[in-house]
Amino acid sequence: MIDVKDLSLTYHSSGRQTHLAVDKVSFSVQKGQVYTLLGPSGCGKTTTLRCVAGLEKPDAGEILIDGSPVSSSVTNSWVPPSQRAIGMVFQSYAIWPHMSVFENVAFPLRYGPFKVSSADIQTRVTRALSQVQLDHLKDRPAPHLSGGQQQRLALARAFVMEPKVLLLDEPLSNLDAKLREEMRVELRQLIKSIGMTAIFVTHEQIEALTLSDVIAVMNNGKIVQEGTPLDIYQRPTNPFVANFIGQSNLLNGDVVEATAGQRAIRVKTPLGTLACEATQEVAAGAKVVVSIRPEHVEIEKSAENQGNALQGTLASTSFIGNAMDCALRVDGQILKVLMHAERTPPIGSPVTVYVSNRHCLAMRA
Amino acid sequence: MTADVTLQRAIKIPFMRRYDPSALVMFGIVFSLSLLIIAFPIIIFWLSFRVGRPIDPAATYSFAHYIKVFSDPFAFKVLLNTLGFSLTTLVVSLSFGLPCAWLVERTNLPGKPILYTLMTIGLLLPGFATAMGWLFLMHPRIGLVNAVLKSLLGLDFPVFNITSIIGMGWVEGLSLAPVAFIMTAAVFRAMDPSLEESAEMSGAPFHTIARRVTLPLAWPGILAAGIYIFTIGFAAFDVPAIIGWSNRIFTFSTYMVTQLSPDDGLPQYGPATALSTFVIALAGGLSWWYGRLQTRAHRYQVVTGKGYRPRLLELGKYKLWAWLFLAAYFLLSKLIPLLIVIWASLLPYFQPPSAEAIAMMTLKHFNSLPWGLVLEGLKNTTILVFLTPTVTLICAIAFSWVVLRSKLPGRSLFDFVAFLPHAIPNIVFGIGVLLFALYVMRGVAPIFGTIWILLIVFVVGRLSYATRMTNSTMIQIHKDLEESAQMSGASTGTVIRRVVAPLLGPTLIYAWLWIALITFRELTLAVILTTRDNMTLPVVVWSLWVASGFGQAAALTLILLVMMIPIVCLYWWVARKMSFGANR
Ligand SMILES: Nc1ncnc2c1ncn2[C@@H]1O[C@H](COP(=O)(O)OP(=O)(O)O)[C@@H](O)[C@H]1O
Ligand SMILES: [Mg+2]
Repeated sequence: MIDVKDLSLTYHSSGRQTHLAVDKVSFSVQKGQVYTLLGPSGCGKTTTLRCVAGLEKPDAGEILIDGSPVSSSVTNSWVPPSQRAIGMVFQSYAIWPHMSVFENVAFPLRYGPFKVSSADIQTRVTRALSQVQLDHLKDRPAPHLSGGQQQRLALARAFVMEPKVLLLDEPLSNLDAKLREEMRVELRQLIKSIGMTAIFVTHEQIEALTLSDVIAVMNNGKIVQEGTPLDIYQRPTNPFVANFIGQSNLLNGDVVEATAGQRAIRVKTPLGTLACEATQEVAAGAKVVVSIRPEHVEIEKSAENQGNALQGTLASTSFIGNAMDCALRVDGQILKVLMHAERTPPIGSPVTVYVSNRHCLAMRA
Repeated sequence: MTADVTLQRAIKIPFMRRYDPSALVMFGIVFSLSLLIIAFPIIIFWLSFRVGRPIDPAATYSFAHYIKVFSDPFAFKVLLNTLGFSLTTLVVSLSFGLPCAWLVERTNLPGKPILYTLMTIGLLLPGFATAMGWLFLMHPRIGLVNAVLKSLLGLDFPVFNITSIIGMGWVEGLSLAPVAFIMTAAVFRAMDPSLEESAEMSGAPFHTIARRVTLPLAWPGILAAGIYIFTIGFAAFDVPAIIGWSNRIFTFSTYMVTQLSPDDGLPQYGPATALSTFVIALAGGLSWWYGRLQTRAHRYQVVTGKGYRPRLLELGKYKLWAWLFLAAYFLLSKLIPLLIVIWASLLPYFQPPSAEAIAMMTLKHFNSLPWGLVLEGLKNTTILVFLTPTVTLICAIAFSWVVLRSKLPGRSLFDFVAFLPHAIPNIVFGIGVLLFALYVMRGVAPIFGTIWILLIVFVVGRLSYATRMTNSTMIQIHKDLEESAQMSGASTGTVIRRVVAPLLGPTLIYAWLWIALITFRELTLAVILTTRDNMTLPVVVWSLWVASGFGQAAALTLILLVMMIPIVCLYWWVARKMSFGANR
């Protein structure tokens, strides 16, 4: 549905300063998918999205929607944003304050590229508003809406002309925490019920994990890993991703034993030699980073985790509600461990912990 | 319970002991200047009802002056003229200023910094200079364009007549276009660009977006700019004086001057004060509307605080047209009138360019200037150019400090008072000061006929601008910076001198230079208040002009403009330093 190939964009801000905001980004989105660009602030997500919308002109690369190029540095073609038939929800919502709720939603039908009769406008706007549960407010001046209502209005306005693609730039970031949590689930249901292809931009991992079919993690203008939410969480192939999504203990190490074609390797780390699983093909002697998530460290020995046993003393604990966040000192190194609050031993006591091989992920440094 | 009560009592320190001496000095400045500012309209109001000699105890109160003014067909004609003149001014200045603002803020027009500079500096060119230029260009009899057209087309009537309401509005509008530009550019800059972008994503074509989204959103801001320009036009003096006076076309300001210093007989304060009261009421109504529009305009502004930078429209092949439009503006409003003034100053009597004319060129007008008067005017102007900005800024700092930093109850009232000179036409303040000097100060301090009366009215006239500048900068200076200085034991005076003033520094220098330049060319306020003994340079130009010394007036105008050049360069340099990093 959407294909982005080798997209690059450099900003030339004041004077001679330049900033490579998007660096050879490629991805494709299948029809009906919710595709998420996730990354820290300033990594180039908005810029990528604005390139797809046509609000920025990329320096290089190609963007195809439904197989036809809308922007290409190869054939030098360019379709202006108003002709791309893309619905977009802006971070500020960009609700026109001088129009009513109804007028806001009717705008794309009235002045957009497709001519729609006024009877049709009436029915389609009403339908769109009822899909976002705003039909009872349609005559209200748009500024008189709450944050959540404005967000849904922006959404209705974006999909009312039935665009091929919906673009959402941090649509939840202007809502308060409670509402954001509700809208996370509701937004995915809404997009799915309309059956639209969507690109979603966020810097909140929890939003990305809940909302997406596919996540692309971005850093410094590049996509560093792409995969399903489960994949990204469980099998990060990159130290940045391991640390950005959830928490990780990251240990630098050298591969001491590796067999070609085999995932299982042994890595020498400051905590000792660990039996790990490689996320990429690595040879003995290679430098790797081993990622261990705190919740995968166990205090009970089992058939699966007996391979990696680590002895240490409990240095500090902090209660975080559903668990105890502990710091274990192993060979002078700190290992973060999540324990059951009731089963946490007193501070200072010696503890032996176990991590199964498949939870010690080794990735190229 | 009892503990609470004693605590409350303990906090009630008497006013005088809560503040140190320098704070009290600032309160003093603010109180006395506010009293003065309020006194001027009140005096006008009082005298407009007073019949007979105002200080004569036998005088009575009645509506006589109002009845006289509003039943006088000539005064009525003046009002109509003024309305037509200000409306033309408004239309002309917006039709140049608004497109310029849009081009600068929303397109990729090259050379924007130059445009900004030219616009700002263009604002400094005195109205009497361009008015002279246009009079020489399009006077029905001697006007250069008319003469050329007459001989080319064999007509026996003039094609253009600048000595008309429309003609004067055209000239005033051209000189106020920079105001329209600066105000509407601010409107475009403050608008959230995603409001336009989302319309674009809806598939709407450019002209629909402009009509349905950009203009409706910018409308309150544009209208507010329009009201402001209308008010300036209403009270404008330079252009109607230079172009209209000798042809007996009067507007509000010029009519006022004829009432206050008629060629024959005594000053007519009665009708002048009655008409002024009417104008104050009108201005009050307009500023109330202006205030409402401003709040509405603010509602539409970017609220997210993200560093949005709008995507700029690619002008492409229209770039050339845009620059042609801008070039046409600068030619019409600045360059051509100035060249004509130079031409006029070098000829014994005005005539279209020709070989004979060139052969006649002479420095006679420069040599025959009444140099004694000119040097006297230069002395007075120089003193005022230094004193006005200095005193105004000291007062403005005091106002900002009281309004923003002190805990004085009702302090926002002073902000309103500082805004009054912006809302009420300056010429009305001039009349107020005049009456104040004549009837209140006469026994106390005879300031009438001295430059001090000019200093007072200039300071009052510039106070609004100065407090807007000091307010907006002081808001940006975090209170902590001052409070930490206070905590280290510094007195209010020390905090102002050592912390606030240095932080305000660049703004103060910038505002000082601007006020100095405006003072240098100020004619309106000076005309009302000058006598033989306190003439400023622009008044000398004016007196030469009314005495039909057109060539001499043109020559002195040129000398005045040349003297402004160094300060303008300094101002430009400071403005560039200040905007460095602000990316403009
Ligand atoms: N109009 C602009 N001019 C210059 N630099 C910009 C502009 N917009 C964004 N940038 C820079 O480009 C980088 C990527 O920005 P953006 O795509 O907005 O990041 P985010 O991932 O937070 O959405 C940032 O470092 C930002 O400062
Ligand atoms: Mg962003």
